[in-house]
Amino acid sequence: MTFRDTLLDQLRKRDKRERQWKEMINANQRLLHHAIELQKRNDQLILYESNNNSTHTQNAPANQQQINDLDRRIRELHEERAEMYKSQSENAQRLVHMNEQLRAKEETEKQQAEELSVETKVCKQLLTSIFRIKSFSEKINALSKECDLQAQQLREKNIVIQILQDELATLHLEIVTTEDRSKNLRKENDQLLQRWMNLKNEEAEKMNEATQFYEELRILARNNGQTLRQVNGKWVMEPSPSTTSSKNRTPAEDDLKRSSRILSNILLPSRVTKKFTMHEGEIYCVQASSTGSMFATGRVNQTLGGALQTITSVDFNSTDELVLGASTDNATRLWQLSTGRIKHTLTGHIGKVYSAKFNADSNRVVSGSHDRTLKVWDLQKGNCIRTIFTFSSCNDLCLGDADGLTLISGHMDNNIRVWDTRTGNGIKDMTGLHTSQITSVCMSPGGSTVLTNSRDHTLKIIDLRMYEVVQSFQADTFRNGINWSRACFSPDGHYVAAGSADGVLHIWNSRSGKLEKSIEGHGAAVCGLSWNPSGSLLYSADKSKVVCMWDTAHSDS
Amino acid sequence: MSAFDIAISETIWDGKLPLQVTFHPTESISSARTPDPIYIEVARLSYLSLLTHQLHSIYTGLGIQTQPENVWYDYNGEPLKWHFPIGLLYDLYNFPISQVPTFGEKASLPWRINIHFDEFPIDKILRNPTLDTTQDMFMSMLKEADFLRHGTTKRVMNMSKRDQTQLWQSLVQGKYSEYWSVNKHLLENGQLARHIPLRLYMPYKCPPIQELVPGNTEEHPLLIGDAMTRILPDLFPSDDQEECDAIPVIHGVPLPLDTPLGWASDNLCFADNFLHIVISKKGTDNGLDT
Repeated sequence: MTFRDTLLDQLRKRDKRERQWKEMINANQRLLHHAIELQKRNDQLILYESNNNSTHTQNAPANQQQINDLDRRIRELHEERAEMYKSQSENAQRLVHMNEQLRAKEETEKQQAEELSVETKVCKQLLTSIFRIKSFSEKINALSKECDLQAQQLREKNIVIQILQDELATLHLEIVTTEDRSKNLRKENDQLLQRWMNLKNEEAEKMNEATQFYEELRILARNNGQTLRQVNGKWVMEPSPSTTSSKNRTPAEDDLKRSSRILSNILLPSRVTKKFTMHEGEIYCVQASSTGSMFATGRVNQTLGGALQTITSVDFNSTDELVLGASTDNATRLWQLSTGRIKHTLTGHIGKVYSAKFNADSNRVVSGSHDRTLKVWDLQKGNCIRTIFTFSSCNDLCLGDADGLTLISGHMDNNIRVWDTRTGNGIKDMTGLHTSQITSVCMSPGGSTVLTNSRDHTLKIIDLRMYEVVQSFQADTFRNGINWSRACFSPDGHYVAAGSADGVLHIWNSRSGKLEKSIEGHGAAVCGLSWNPSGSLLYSADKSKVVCMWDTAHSDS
Repeated sequence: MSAFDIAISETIWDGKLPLQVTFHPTESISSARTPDPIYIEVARLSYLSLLTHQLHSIYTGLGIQTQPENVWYDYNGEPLKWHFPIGLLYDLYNFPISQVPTFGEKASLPWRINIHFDEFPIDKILRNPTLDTTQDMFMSMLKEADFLRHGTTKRVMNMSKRDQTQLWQSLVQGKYSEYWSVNKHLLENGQLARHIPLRLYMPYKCPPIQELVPGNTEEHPLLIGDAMTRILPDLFPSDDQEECDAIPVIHGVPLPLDTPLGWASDNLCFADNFLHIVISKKGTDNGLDT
């Protein structure tokens, strides 16, 4: 036998041996389980029974009563239940009844609802139609309002048109009237021209009259040995040919003669020798010519062949051929006396020229102006050689010496200044001499002193070497009323003359300082004063266009 | 040679032992009130812990509270090792070597053992014989067998949880087909087994002998006799196999020495894939006819 078979056989034998107790053991197991079961149940029953027993033995009598009560309760409950059933059936019946009623009501309600819906439809239609009507009426209103508005606007426009038409009419009228006016104005214009022409004619006539007048004067003068001549509106007195008949005399001899004549005694007049009412405008200055034969006045508005405004200062040159006029139009003009034409116009000042002087050679002119400068002009070239800046506006100037190398100027700032024309520098500033502006400076015939006139109503003679006041003149009646009032020495240097604001001529003794004479003769303030170089005549001019001639050679009779 | 022998295998699986379990009196329950001995048939491949599990319901039904940790068995005063299969335990005490003095008679059937519920002898047997511990023990034996067989424990470790539980439960409930449906995966030889998982038991306190026994090679199949000679040369002299005194016993039957090792390992192994062989003396009165 193989090992396998041996094994199998052995195993079978083993099993036979070991399994013989199988059934017994199984039976045993079953019995055991059963016993366990029974035990369990027994225990349970005992437990249950013990519980039951315990309750039962204690509550036996009470139990009976409880049972009775319970029976009673049961009966009552039965009765209640019967009643409940009854009421339930009644309720059911009522419920049925109610349901029927409800159904009927619902039907009626439905019908009503239908009717209502129909009605509402109708109402809605009505409402819509009403709305439409309303809207239409509103539209109509609006349109009518618009219509009114338009009508109103139209009316307004009509009004406006009317107004415009009226305006147009008025404007037409205005045009017509203005045309008429313009015509009238033209007529007036013509008339005015006519009048002006007439005036001019009158003027001419007046002039004629004047000439006539002066014819008479000439006759008189001829008696005195002088002639009167008109040169372009300037009144000039000339020595009559009878006295200067001899033309062959040399000018030097004439000069001598003239100078000798200067030394004639000056007699102070007490009344006016002659009086002329001269010009159309105011007289600013008067100047006797160098030769003594003429005097010139500068006046307002005088178109002296070219000057456009007032002439503030007049000077003759030494030969009397040229006349120098300083004007407020910032120019200085030279006229040739023979032709009466302007020889030079010296422009350059930027302020009014208040004074202009020739130098001895007549080739230079010095002018002082309110633009605070002094200008030296060369007559051959016709231009300004030098400009001296003075610090104040110059009211008057005079030459310090015959060549014009030094200048003396009087200013608005109350000072007198001495200048060197070659260098243009100031030599001396004399301050504090006057307390108001200087109105004139005048050289003495001797050349060493200067006469100053001032608005502080005093005149002073100042020595040029020492720069000291030698003499001062004043009077109670003397008032310097004009800014350019001129004073002058007498040719012999004895007297000093000045015009007062009230028209009274004052003459002082230059050495003593005493007021020698105060002569009335002018009606207005005296502005210009000039002594004839011969000393025979004193010319004075006042603001009221009157020139007075005072005879200082002969005493009044 | 390594094919499954269904007949042998089934027979081995179905092997059962009758037991008489006597209640040993405890402190709380005196000898007067002890329940009667319980007779039960238990599978040879099963373990004592599983027996405890079966008896538990009976004893609670009888009103005795049991705690599996404190339950232990003894035979003739000797505490029984619960981690040995019951078949092995019975063979150990039924087939002793006569030289060694035995206690009383040979084990007769039904095998009478005592059940104790207290005074657990910690020094003699392993602690805590609960179901879980038994399962762990079983699994470790399985792994050891797998390692000896294949060199790795890969097969056991890769077993799914379901398979593990099925394996154990089928052992607990004694379901042959379910057990073998899983176990055959473990025994499949992709290559021939390297070593045969084998344990030899000498009765009476000899520790089990486990030595490396090489598996079959193609040319030279090893026999049981060769293995015995290799391991116990004194008891199994190689020259004369007929003459030796000792007999290897397995599952209560003597094992022929010419059985091939591989075949024996596949078909005759216990539940944990080990061959637990008891060495017995020839000629003793043990009901074996050789």
